[in-house]
Amino acid sequence: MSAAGFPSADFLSADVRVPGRGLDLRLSLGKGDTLAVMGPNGAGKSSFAAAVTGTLPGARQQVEGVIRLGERTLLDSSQGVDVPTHRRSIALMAQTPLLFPHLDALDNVAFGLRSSGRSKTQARREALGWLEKVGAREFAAERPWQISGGQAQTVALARALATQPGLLILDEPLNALDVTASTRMRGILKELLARQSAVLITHEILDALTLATHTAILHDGRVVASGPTRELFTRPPNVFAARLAGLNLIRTGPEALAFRAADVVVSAREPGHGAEARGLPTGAQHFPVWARALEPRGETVLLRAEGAGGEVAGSEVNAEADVSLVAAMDASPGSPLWFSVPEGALRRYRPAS
Amino acid sequence: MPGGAPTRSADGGPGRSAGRARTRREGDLPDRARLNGVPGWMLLAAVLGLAFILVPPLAMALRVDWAHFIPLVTGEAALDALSLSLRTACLSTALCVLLGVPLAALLSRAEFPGKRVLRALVLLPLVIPPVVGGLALLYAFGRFGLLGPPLRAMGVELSFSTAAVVLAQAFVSLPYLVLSMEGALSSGDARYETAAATLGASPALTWWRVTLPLALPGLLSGAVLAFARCLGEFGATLTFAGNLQGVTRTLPLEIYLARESDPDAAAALALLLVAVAILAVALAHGPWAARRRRTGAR
Repeated sequence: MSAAGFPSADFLSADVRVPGRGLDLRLSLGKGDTLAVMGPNGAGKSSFAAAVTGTLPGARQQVEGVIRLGERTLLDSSQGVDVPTHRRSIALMAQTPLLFPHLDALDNVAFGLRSSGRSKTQARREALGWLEKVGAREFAAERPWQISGGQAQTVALARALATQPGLLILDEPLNALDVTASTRMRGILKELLARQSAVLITHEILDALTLATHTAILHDGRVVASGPTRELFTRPPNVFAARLAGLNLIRTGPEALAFRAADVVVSAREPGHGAEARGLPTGAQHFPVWARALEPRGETVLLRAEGAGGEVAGSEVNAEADVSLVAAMDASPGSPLWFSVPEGALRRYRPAS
Repeated sequence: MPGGAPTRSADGGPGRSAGRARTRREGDLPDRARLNGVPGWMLLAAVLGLAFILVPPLAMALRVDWAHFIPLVTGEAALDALSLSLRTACLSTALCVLLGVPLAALLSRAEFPGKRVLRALVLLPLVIPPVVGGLALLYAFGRFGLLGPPLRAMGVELSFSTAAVVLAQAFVSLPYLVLSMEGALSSGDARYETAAATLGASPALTWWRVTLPLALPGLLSGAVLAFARCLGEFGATLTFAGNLQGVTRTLPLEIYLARESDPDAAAALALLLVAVAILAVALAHGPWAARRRRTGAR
């Protein structure tokens, strides 16, 4: 898929192939923008990060393609250009903070500054400023093992930002954090990524929506959907985007039909006359389906079904229903059911591609 | 971990309590001694093993003529040997660090064909008899050896000199340092180095500021092992460097020589050697091992 819909003035443009890992993708990013990269485990998100930073273990020579950052060409395999990691000006912040255990928080942040030739005093002064920005100044003298995971991750962010990289890659930075810490970290990221060109690898749609102007979705090493984040998840072009957004997507010729699984009202009988009386919304669309699988999710059950007729015939349709309701219907794989979707919850549109 | 009062908790079959009783009799901190699931019979075997290590030096200490200990170890020949041993062991250890650390770094980090074979070859001095090692050194660096003539052309005469002692000691000790350092490098997390690179640190800077500090405990324990091995070197030294007082006669050679002519001196010097070795190990292992445990805890 082309990078259509992305700003034309590409700051980062990456066209990378890693044959050994089945990776083949083209991604671009405008200056100061944040691009979210999403997709299931094994889709190639981390391999992409490693290819762009030049840290693919043991297989660096296997990265093919062209990577440009601003005016610089970092990789051009046909020309034999392959800039080493430390000269790429791409900082990587991983899932785990990886703070150097033999240095305190301040010297961790000062590390990159010293690498770029600043004196010890100067580097430490600037590092203190960065710790201040992420609200971790009080931990300056602490060793990494003395602070919590959330605190360590903020220090790691300060360390990555302190080098003022051309590009910052964040590989699931909130994954290992508890709710409180990740909420706080998301706020810090929102503020500090405003002017920083960044790639945010995540599996949380919330992170993409709050932090990234654009999103690309990977599947099996390829970009299967990309575009402005909000657009991508409100009018998903295909099932990959729809699944991440928790939407059912039905293709009906050139048109698409999207609705949330949680908006579906499930009933065992055909909603004919008097449907409203049984609690079904007025003006709802009704779809006949076969139940395929029941996925308990605490208070609710995700009902996976297959369309049995009409617009949804043959499509996978999911509904989220109350546990007691599903139990009362005695639904099991193969049961015929009716999915009703209120008119307002149904979106009809022409997908971008 | 259930903190607080440990050993007296409600567990404990007959075997366990017997084992506990024994540890309590031996250990000076009974409340902290616990078998933690190690079978009781192993304790017996372990105590035997420990005794096997400790009884001989103890027997030697008992044999020493303590009244004359100081004059015995401060004789001219003894002092010559001790000073030569300390000087050469220090130099050899430095040589091991200089040659062994890059070797360990390559073995643990680089990828190249034949790496496994190379790793096995590095262990060669460890598995061949020291006398054979000395002989091999003689054929390589000796007056009529492979490299003898070119070395002599440069004005370097190695065999039967103090330099030869250093070479012999370094030869037998190098594997200890390489093994220990490679272990430290391999068990270390290479992702720290990746992190350093993405922060703009060149490979050289990453080595000095990340890799080496993190592997320092391993390097130090390797150096201590190498130093101790250097101090005890006998066979290769005798074969390659000879036995000349003040030049190549190290403490072990002096002890062996004195064994027949002056058994009292031999025992005293032997005990001195044991004391120096224990001191070296304690100096390097005490604080560093404690620190490693602390950093490793999280």
